[in-house]
Amino acid sequence: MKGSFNVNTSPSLTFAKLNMNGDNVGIDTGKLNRDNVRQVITGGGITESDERIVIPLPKTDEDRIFELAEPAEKVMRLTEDASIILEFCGESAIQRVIRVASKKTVNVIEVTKGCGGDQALCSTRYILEEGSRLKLIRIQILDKGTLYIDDLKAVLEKDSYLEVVRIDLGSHRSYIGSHVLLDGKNAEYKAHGDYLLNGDQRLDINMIADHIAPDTVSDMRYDGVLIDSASKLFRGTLDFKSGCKGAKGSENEEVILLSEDVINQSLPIILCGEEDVEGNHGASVGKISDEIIYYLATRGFDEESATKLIIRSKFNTAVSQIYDEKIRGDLTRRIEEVLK
Amino acid sequence: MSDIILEIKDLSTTVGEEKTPILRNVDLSVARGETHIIMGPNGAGKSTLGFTVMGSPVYEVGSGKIIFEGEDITGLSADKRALKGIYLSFQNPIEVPGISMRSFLRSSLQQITGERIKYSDFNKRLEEAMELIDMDPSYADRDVNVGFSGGEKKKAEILQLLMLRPKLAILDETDSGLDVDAVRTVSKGIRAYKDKYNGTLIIITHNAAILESLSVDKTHILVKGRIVGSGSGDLTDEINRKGFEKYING
Amino acid sequence: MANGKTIINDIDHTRYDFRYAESSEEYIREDDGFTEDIVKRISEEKGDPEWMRDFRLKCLDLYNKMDMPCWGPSIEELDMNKIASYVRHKSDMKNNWEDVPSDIKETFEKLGIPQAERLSLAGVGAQYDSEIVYHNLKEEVAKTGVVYTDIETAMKTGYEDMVREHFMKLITPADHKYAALHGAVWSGGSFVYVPKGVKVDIPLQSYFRLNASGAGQFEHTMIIVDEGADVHFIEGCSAPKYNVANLHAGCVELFVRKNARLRYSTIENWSKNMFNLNTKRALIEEGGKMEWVSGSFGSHISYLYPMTILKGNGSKMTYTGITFSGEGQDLDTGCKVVHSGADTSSVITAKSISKSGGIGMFRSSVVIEKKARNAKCSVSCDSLMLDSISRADTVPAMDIRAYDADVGHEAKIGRISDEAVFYLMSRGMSEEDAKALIVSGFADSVSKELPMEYAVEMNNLIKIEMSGHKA
Repeated sequence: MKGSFNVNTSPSLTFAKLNMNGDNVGIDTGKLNRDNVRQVITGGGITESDERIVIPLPKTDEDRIFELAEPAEKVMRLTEDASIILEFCGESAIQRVIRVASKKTVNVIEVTKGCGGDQALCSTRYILEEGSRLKLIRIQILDKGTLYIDDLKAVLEKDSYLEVVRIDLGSHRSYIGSHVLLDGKNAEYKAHGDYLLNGDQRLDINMIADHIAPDTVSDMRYDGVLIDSASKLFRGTLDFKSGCKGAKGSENEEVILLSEDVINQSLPIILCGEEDVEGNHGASVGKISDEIIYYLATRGFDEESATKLIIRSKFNTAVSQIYDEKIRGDLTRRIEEVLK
Repeated sequence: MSDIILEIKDLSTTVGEEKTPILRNVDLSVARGETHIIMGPNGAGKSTLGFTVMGSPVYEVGSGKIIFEGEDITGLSADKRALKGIYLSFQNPIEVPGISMRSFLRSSLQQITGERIKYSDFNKRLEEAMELIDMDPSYADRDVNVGFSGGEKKKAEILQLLMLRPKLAILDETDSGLDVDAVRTVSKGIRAYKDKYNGTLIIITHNAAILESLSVDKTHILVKGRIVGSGSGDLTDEINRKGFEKYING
Repeated sequence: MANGKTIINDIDHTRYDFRYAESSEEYIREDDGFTEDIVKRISEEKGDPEWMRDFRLKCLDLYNKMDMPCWGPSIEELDMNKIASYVRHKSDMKNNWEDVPSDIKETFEKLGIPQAERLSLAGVGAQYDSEIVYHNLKEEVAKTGVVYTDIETAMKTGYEDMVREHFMKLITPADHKYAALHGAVWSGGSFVYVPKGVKVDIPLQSYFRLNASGAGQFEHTMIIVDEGADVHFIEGCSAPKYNVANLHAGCVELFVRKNARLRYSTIENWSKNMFNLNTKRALIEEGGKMEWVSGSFGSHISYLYPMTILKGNGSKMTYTGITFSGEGQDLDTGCKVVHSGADTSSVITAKSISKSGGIGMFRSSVVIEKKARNAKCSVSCDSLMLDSISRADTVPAMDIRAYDADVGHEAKIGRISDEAVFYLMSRGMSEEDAKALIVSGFADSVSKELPMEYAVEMNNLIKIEMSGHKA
């Protein structure tokens, strides 16, 4: 059943002529097979259950794809640190629910990689129970011919904290969607994404943070580098719902453009129905500033090596958070390959 | 002295939804024309005292009364208190874009006195006041506090004091962040207010320099929201020499 | 209310809301709705040349075929079958206020237009419903070769070729449904031509008054600022409030030639039953400069995004705008810019205030084409929420295809700080006045771009909105 789906749709639309409100992808849901995904989980103190998790959000085309592709997975409840390897081989889709147990602090590192196959689809719902803390590091190094759809939804209960660090290097076209509900008082969400795209890679991002409860905090950041004819579309939405008194949210973007044929699109949205909030957005787009290049020149770097130095240093912060030496080495190698 | 202008009786205040207590059972009595100093370590509640007397909605009065010229003003909003003749100089004056110092002051003055003041009279008064505190006349036509340096903001607060001539002025850390010369200028302004208009002062400070040329009637030590000691002006010198330890530990 | 008098002038709340009944003996009014017959009658009434008549009919056809815009506030409650496309007084355009019919003259006098003309304007045009009723240009300005009239007159007085060359070439009928509608039934507006090198020191102003109930206003403004010339054009609009919908679908096409400068200021205060679906666009050639100043206060629903195409190398644009959304208002405003030429720059500064259930949306798009080398753009958007039943939304889009572009963007949403209110109250100001003062301060970056009288006007509008009285 090949169907056309409108994915990564923005909660608030811009002028239709810009073609930035979402993207149409053709997916043959009949071919998708969950057995083509290998999931290896280490650690986690996991308990499984069959409970049904319903996240109160309108149905998206992503939901429809996964409904057609396969039934929901079991719910995994984590109490300890875990490391998860997701390997997509062939046409594959996986759907997961991960709960973080109340009051627990858990670090999860997830690596998404591939071994052939054109389509890799992953849907994950995270439930952060009261007072829990999850730091999620997600590395995506799929093959450069793959279409990747990643759909993340999270519900943050009272006093919980979610931090997502993600690095996207692989795949041909990626649709990274995340919708986080700051549902409990004092819940906090922090997200930092980095990407490095070359060739004709395209990255399409749709990040949404709904501030529902009072005193919730969100901080979303996406930084990256575009080379060759790579293109990126960032949609980010801070949605302050009426009643989220004292909420604070910010979204920021920094994009470095290194080639003449790159395309950089941004749609940073703030929706606000509450008086007592602070929301802000900032973006800076362009080449590396002449001042920095000059500064580095005075220290003996030519423009090319200065550029590489800056890119490396941008990724260092993210890469250094990965405690698994092998994965870290893998990432560094990939970054160097692009910079060659 | 029998002419009590401000009387604070058993005043306790809290802040926020959690009702964190700040001031605890504070009593204070100030007579017309007197100068009182409030000293105390950081976080003692000194600024809260000033803000509460001025009627800030941030602090909730749990118990006690504030009586100004014999009238209970505890429930009055800040503008009503200003009209009665209370003035608070802010530690961090707010920038107000869109209105010049000149028209702000004139409007404020007319508000408080309830009378129209002629442009020429007003401008003369403004010029004199600015000269007294050594403030560049160009500031009169700049927007209130917008882009002023820290020092200029403090001077602008004293300028407002001299223009509005309140019955009671509360100066909250007016000297903080100022260099020696600026402190001298600011004290000159304060002295002029006191001498010319028989001003009553409550000065919140931890710096003796601002007080050098002022005769202090009473000094109060505020620690953890309570007045733990009161004395004559000499107490100020003692605190400056020895610090608050005695009161904190005692 | 004695408070605050010295800060902001007194306001006459009835200033915009008075109205005179239009009698059928004195006024010509087209049937409601938009049909081929109606369009033909309008064309005949105006004595259009053939090309214009054909153009109108082509536009109507397009209008009927096109879809409604998919983004933005819903305009479903606008029943196009209940809008009269054309209403005019039977008398012709005058060059002397004395000759203008008395009800119309009194309207403009109440709005202060003749007074402003005497004091501070180089030329004035006044439109009442569908037609310009008054036009005048100071003699010394006319002598420099500046042309300021309406499009109809321009076509009959030797500028037909110029009109034909530019008319709806920048905003094409296919642009959107209401541009097509405009093409079919447009009437009145302004034609301005400033010859090479001529600098007009004081502004020209057109004032648009839609007085008839259940009517549409479709004026067309065309301004051509020739090489090295300089002009400031002010546009004002208002209408009395009715219980039925009124529609405004004007078009503004601005051509700024090499090294010329145009400032286009608008204070819009349509009544709150107005659907304001207006389109404005400017094409800027080498070294030219476009400056937009925009204050949006009125309308029930607005779609308004002045667009600038920076075609020539080194061309520039600035947009400074404020939108105040009160009860029953859904104001979708913002701006669009396309950088085509090299070394082009744009600066967008937008403010929005939302109160009493009003919805304020800032919507923008910045496009930097691949050939626009070394382009610079900065966008800043500040929204102020005055309560929690209102909305302030920001949807800025950027599409950057030049790797050496330098683009910065900032958006902030917040409320009036309690501390600032307390500070002003401690100086004797009432809470209401303190808030009004802070809001005018917030709007200051816009009002300081306006000539004095208009800045005062804008402050008055803010004051009216803040005190909750219906304008």
